[in-house]
Amino acid sequence: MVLAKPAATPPREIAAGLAERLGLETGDRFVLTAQDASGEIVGQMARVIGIFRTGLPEADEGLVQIPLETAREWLGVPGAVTSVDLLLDSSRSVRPVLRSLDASRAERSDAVRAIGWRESNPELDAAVRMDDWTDYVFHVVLFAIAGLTIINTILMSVMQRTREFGVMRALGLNRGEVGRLVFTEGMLLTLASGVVGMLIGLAVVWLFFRNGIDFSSMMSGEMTAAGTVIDPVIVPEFRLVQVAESLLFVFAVGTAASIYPAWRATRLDLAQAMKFAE
Amino acid sequence: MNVTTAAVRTENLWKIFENGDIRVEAVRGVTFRVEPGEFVVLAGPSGSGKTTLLNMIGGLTRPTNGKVWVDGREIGGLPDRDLAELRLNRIGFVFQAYNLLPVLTALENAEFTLLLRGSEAEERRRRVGELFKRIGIEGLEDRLPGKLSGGQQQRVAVARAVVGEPALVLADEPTANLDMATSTSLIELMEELNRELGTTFVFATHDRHLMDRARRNIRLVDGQIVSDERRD
Repeated sequence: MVLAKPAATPPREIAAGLAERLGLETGDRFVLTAQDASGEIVGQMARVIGIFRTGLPEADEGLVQIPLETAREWLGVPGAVTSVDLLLDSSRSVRPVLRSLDASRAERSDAVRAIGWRESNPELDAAVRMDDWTDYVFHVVLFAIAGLTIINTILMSVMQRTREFGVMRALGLNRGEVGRLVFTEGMLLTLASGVVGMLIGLAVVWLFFRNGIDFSSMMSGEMTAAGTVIDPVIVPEFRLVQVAESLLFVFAVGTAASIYPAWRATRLDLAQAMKFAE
Repeated sequence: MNVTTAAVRTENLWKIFENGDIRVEAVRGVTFRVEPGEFVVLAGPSGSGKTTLLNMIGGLTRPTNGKVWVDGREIGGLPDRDLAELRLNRIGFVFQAYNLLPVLTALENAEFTLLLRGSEAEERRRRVGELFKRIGIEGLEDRLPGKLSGGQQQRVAVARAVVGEPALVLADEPTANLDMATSTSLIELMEELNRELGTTFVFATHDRHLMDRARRNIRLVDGQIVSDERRD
């Protein structure tokens, strides 16, 4: 693999595992052997100028980094590259960048193919999708609990205030008005608790975890998945759309959860509600 | 006398509660009428059906059989919305347990029916203010029910019942939780309102004192009227 990032000097950096296996140290000479463009086996003398560790055993056992120009000259392919890796700011930029590259390639009838990380690393893609599904299931459970809690809270409120609603009915509110009152209360309760909960959550994360949660002390080596090193510091990320979606979902759950208590409130037996009966 | 002029009229009124095999005939064929401006007590031992009768007159419970007219209007077949409107505009309730709304102040409780009727805030405050002064609870407007004595709460409840000047006030054991002095004072207040506003009062009570003050005593036993005495 040839990295697109050119080196300032002609270094030959060697991965730690490989250096250890070959008994190499900084300053030692070694010979790289490869097949060139014409199929000939060619060698290249190199000197170790640095040893690095990626954290991935499979990479550390066999990776050597050399300047791009050195590789081109050695393998007889001036101006060529086998692949170009682009590191984007966000994974959400992958699709637009791919579309843009594809459009550009179509214009030039270029043989070069642009693929995203999901295609280039299907194992990682599968791992991420699995994580997404786990996250989805977790959220479903979480929101189910939230929904049941809202139903319980509003229902308890109705049951504890049975007499109050009975009095309201006796004083002139009809069934529909009492139902709407309970429903509105449920909605307001949900909205208020959703906003307050969100603000508390944001405040707690901002106060204690804004620099991320460091899991490195919980593991002996590097955290890897599907040939990728995962940063042990998980940094929380807030997106406005995510906050809006969560609030919307909570509001929808609250709406659904308010219907039954509201219906119950309309079914109250007035005399019983006020303990007005003998 | 014309049916439509009676404050309350019942005709062969029955209320039967059924729960599985249990059947209770709470009110059995009660027929009576109350003229506008009367101050009437429904008396009788516990379980005699007086509260159930009061509930049916107030449209809180529907009769199993028979008819009820309130202010000239037959209410047995009225839909919920119309019954609610009737309660709002024509009937005031006073309950044994006061039943003030705990999160509202005394003033807000008293003006509740006016609020439901759509009265302006200024008008509501004025009427409640006058009434509070009249019934001796002036200055308690901003107190929550929990900060009022039993007597004060019941006065607020009476204010709530009469502030909208209903044709009929139904009071279920209004003095049951009050001491003698407070009870007497409350009865005098309701007598005064009855005299001055012409409001019809119908009580369900055990209170001997209230029975003695009423101008008419209807006695119920086992869901039936056994006596109807008038006092001039």
